[in-house]
Order: sequence, then structure tokens, then C-alpha cells
Amino acid sequence: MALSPEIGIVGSGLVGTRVAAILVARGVSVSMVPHTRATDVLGCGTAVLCHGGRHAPLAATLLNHGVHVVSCSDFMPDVMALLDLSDRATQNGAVLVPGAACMPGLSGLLVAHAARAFDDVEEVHVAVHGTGGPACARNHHEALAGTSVGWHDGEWIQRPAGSGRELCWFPDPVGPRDCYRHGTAEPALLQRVVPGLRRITARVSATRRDRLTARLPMMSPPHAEGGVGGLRVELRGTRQGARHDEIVGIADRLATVAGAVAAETASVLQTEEVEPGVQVLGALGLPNGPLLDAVLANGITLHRYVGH
Amino acid sequence: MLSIAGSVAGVLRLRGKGGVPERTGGWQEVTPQR
Repeated sequence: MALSPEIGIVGSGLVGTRVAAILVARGVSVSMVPHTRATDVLGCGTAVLCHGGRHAPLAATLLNHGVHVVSCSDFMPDVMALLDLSDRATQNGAVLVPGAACMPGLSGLLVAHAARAFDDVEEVHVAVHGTGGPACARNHHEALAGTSVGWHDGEWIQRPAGSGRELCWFPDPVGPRDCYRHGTAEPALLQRVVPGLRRITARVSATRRDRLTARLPMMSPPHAEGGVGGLRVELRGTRQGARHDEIVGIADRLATVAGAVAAETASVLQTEEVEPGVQVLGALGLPNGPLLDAVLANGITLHRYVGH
Repeated sequence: MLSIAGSVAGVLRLRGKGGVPERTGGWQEVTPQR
């Protein structure tokens, strides 16, 4: 069956509108629908899921119809459910890309990019500051209250979310932020990017108030959009027999970053041959180098930390 | 209830973020090399 040239976008929030803006600007035909009319994108070649709530049930339906799916969800149970759809995607000749946002998403592309400077990468530590739209802010709130997972010397460990404070420097103007473990599927995705890693951690910036109120309902409605956020990716390993570190990051509005990652990923699925199944950004199976270039071409500046 | 929580949050905010060590490096803009 011929692939429809149209890209469907489910959700009309900040990320959805930015995905649409990027695709429309280059002449791609898009169909933007709210979550309640998600089945309208069944005729599209690729669907980008940008709505709040769970993506896995809708992704399963779309995959059954052979529609490629790009999901921006970063909610841990949802991303884990998406990973379980691998067989369904393969059987239907479709591609599913979970976690196509900032973290996860751009983080995987940056890990794959920075890993080229190593002979052997042993550890990856990622941190994010800020939120995109209201759904992202609610997820940030909930993610500080549950359990976080990490990869430590070959086994999965669970720690309370909100623990493990670490001061992380983000590119200006974000600067230094206290970051904590949180409930995210990022370690599970990064393990697919570099399978031989010994340690993976993912942290999010938070204030004392965020941590104190994490187990309570949000006291005030989230902002329509968070301010400038940041992403920081640190790799540790060896190069030419010596210890080596690389730290790269960005500072931008996270909804803009997520929109660029999702839009460029959808473009790749529409225009290039990608093996059916679940494909993770940064892992083998996607053209990660050109994809990172395309994301950065949307006005996102990549920074590298120099010094100690 | 909200005012109490707000007061607690305000006090915590007033206490500040604690000490931040001096930064010895810096961020540089880079362009990925293929």
C-alpha cells in the first residue's frame, strides 16, 4: 500500500502547533486533530502524537493500520508500553519512535553524537531543566513523586523520585540548577542507544517547593508555556587509554525543541526507508547524524562544556 | 490550606538555593561535524 504523503498531528498544544509550523513551512501536508478525533489520522502515512495523556493505546491502533507513529510522550509507564508494541509494528510494516521530544528525544541524538569522541562510553548522565506546555508541567510534577529507575553496573535500580540531588550546569542563560532523580523512561531508551553502558542516570531540575508539593495536587494551574529550559548530556568513558568526559547541551524553549525533534523524525519516516519496529532516537536504525543536523537547523544552538 | 502551603513555600524560597561553587569552565557553541 502506498504511503500517504500527509502527516497527522494529534494534539494542538504547544508541541503540536510547532510540529505543524515546521512541516507546513516546508510544504508538507498536515492534518491536525484533537485527541478526541484521533482516528481521523488513520489515513495518514505518519502520525505525530503530541497530546496529553497516554499514547500507547492510540499508537497500537495506528500501527494496526500500518501508520508510522512518532510519540512525544515522556511519561514512564506510557513509554514502556510503547516499547512493548515492537512486534505489532513489525507485523504491520510500520515504525514506532517513542520519546521523540527533548528528554527523551534530543538527548538520545546528543548521546549518539558525543559517543563518537570515545573509544568506550561507560556512563551517561542526562539532566533537563524546565517544561514545555501544561501537560509537560503536570508530568514534571508527578514525576517527582514516584519512583525513578537507573542503570547501575549492569542492573536496574529503583530510587525515590526527588532524591539524589546534583548541581548541574546548563548552557546560559539557565546556568546552575539542583537536579534530582525522577520517574522517566529515559534510562531504558538510552540503554538502547549505547547497549554497553555501565551507568545511566536521568535528572530533572526542581526547587524545594517542587519536591515538597510533589505528592500533592498542583496548587496552581501550570503556565501556558515554561520559560527557557535546558538539556545537558554528560558522557564518561575512555579515549586512547585515558579517562574522557564530554558534556553537551542546549538552552531553548523545550516545546520548541520537542516540536523540532518530532517534526524532523516524522519527516525521516515519510521520506526514508526505516526498518519496521520500534526505533529509538540515537540508536542504530535511524539516520541520527542528519536528524540531529535537521533539528539544530530549526534555530537550536548546540553547546559543549569546556573546562572542569 | 493553600495560604499555609504558600507560606511554607515562601520561607523555603527565601532560604535560597545554597552555595553554588565557582564555575571553572564554560559553554561554547559548536556545530556538529560529520
